Amino acid sequence: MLFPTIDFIVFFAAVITCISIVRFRRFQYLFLVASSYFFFYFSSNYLLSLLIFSTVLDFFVAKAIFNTKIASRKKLLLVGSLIGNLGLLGFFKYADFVILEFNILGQAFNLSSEIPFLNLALPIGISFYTFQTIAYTVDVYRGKLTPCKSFSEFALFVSFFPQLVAGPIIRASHFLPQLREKITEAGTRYGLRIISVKNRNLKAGITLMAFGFLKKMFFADNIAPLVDDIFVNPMGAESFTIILGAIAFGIQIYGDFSGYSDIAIGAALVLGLKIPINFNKPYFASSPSDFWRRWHISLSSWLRDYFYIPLGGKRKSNERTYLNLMAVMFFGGLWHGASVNFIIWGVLHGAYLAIHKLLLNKFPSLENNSFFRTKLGSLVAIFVTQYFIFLAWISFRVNDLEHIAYSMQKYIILDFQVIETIEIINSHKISVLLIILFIALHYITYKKQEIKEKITNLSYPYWILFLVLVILGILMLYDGNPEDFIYFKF
Amino acid sequence: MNVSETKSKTAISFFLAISIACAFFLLIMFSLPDSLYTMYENFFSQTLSEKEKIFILGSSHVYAINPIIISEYLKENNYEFEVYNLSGPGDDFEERERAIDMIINKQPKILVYGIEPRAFESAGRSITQLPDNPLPNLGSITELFNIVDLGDKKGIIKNPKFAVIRTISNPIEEKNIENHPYPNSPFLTYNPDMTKITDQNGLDNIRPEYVAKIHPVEKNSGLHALDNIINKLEKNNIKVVLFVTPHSEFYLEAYPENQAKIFQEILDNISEKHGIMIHSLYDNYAELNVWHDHTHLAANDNTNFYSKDVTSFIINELER
Repeated sequence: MLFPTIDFIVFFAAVITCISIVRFRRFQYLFLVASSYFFFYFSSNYLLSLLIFSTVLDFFVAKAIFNTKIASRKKLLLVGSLIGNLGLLGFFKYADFVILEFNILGQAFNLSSEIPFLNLALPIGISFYTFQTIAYTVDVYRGKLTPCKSFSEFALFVSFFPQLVAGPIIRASHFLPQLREKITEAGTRYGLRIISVKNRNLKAGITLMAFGFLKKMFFADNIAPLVDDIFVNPMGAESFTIILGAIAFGIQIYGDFSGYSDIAIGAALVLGLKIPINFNKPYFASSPSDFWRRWHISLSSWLRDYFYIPLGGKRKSNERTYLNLMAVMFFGGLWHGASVNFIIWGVLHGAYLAIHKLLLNKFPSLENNSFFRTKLGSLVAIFVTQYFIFLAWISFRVNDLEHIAYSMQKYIILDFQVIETIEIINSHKISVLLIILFIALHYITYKKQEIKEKITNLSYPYWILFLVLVILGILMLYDGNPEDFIYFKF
Repeated sequence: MNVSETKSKTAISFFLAISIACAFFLLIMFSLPDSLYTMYENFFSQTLSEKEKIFILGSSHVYAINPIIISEYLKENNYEFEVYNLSGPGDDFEERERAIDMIINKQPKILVYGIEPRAFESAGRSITQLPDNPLPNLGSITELFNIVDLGDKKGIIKNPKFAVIRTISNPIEEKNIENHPYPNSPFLTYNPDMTKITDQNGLDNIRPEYVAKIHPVEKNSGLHALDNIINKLEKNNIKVVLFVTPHSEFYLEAYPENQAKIFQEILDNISEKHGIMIHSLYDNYAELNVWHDHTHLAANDNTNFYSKDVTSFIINELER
């Protein structure tokens, strides 16, 4: 189910209404789980069974890990859970990619027969919910988390519909206590607190959702035609066209993904559940590591906690740290999809992080250099960082290796031709205007950090005005075809 | 947040905001000129030739068809018709459906429709390979506005962005086009560039068009609109000739196989449902040196064979 459809509006209104009317905690949780399954079934049909499998597997394995005293048995159970989750992910997401690479290798060795592709349907959100369940089981294994006693609560954690298909990747340690907190509070005849829609949450949630829809439907969807036009076949394109395409795509994917996150966080907030932020002005990052503290925070922190640190993090030698960073980002790239272009994107980011670390190790004075504390210094740092971030976006957007190589070469070595660029700008005036508007708004929100809170706190007439402008803006530039969120396919 | 604020006040404010925004939206949409519809109205309100008429519809892919040449070819075969090329850039079946009554009122003997995969594609990115579900799909947000009687503005509201951009980018479009490539081609603007043949090198340097997703038969709104058009024409005893417009080899090579397969399924569906034979020029001229770009034949004397081929489809229908 797509957020910007009548289906979702009707569905969400029905969920809130039902939750508000039937004020029995057990019913509410079961109802939310059933609603989430319905939400998932709407777009994934029988693939719902994978979600249920993952839920059942980790609920019971985590319990078994917690109950057993034998270390080797704990480890065995953990490995079983990892095989189950990663096997599912690997099979459905990467099987055809592996077959393709194997067939290419076979051609190199003159093998006459090829392995046929499986052509499996990609289960939406599988990368997100498997990472959630893996983190849960690992946390129980590490003794950081007590396993959830209630299956419905755990099922709700895995399948909570606002963030089910494209994150943020929530942690059990953050989400489950919210459900348990309610249990410890008095207030109902069961002595348990129920889910109730509170005014502050309702207003803040609607404000956040409005921001999300604005980012997605007003900005991202209307910048997409420009990006598609440039990158459908970038061969022969001028440098400035490629740069325009990279900037446009950077904004499109930010609007698309952070828009989804805002809608998810807002929808959860309306239901009284808090999901941590996933983006924090990433295009004002002043170093590669700063970028990953601001972009897809739930994934970068997951990779840090469950992959980078177990690999040794920065506790071992410098060389090992660089290698770890490369390995983590390689994995992060692959997580996005079974395609070489995502691997290139990940490797590039790994290289950025490793080189940044190397520079800081070689020249420790750089970190506290007074120049980078000046306005000009921070501007230079942001510009240099973003130059490389947008360079990497090319490999994220363009699939063909030859096209990636051409585009990157044009991005780096300028040809100073503008004829085609002017033509493209002329034929995509709305998209270009939206890019300029987005950059301006992004700067304002960077400078005035609490803008969402300020809008939430507006008095009703101004709040209504804000919503009217957002809805009107979206409707005026709506083309009748709701576009999928890019991260649905990851 | 003010302590006097309550949940019900917030909910009411939210619905009020939606209502105000929708009211403003409808107001703006009703005030936007529906230039395409107005253009149709202007043309069809004129008195056309007293002769029997043949209308050719389609997109800019039909630009190179010269109605005068078709009339002459028909005359050579002892058929007397006034032929009109009523194609227009970016033809859309749903837009045509809005104007179909005007076409029917002029009672053409035959309506020739040039169709191509693009006409069935939908803008918008969709995930492929998803399993279908048996649940009803309520559809796009703008379909909510169907509860209001929108009259002639229905088409505008289906794609507000198109109407807004058209108004912003070409506010004088409502004026009648005066410079046509041929007589009897009221919706086409003469473009001297379109007469030029681009050589292989030039074609090589043109970047291929962006290919949007083509929805399968059961979900294709373009097909649904074309079905309605054909049904109405058949009810009014107007013969329908469908043909697939020609494409260059550059286009055909780049066109995704799965999309081409769906397009073929759509053609089969139309053919089966309406008992119409669909003629195809899809790859007939693919390798000829007659292309202006990947999808448009240059409109000059060298491409008269296009008009001649379409004439043969018409004769075929007349002699059935």
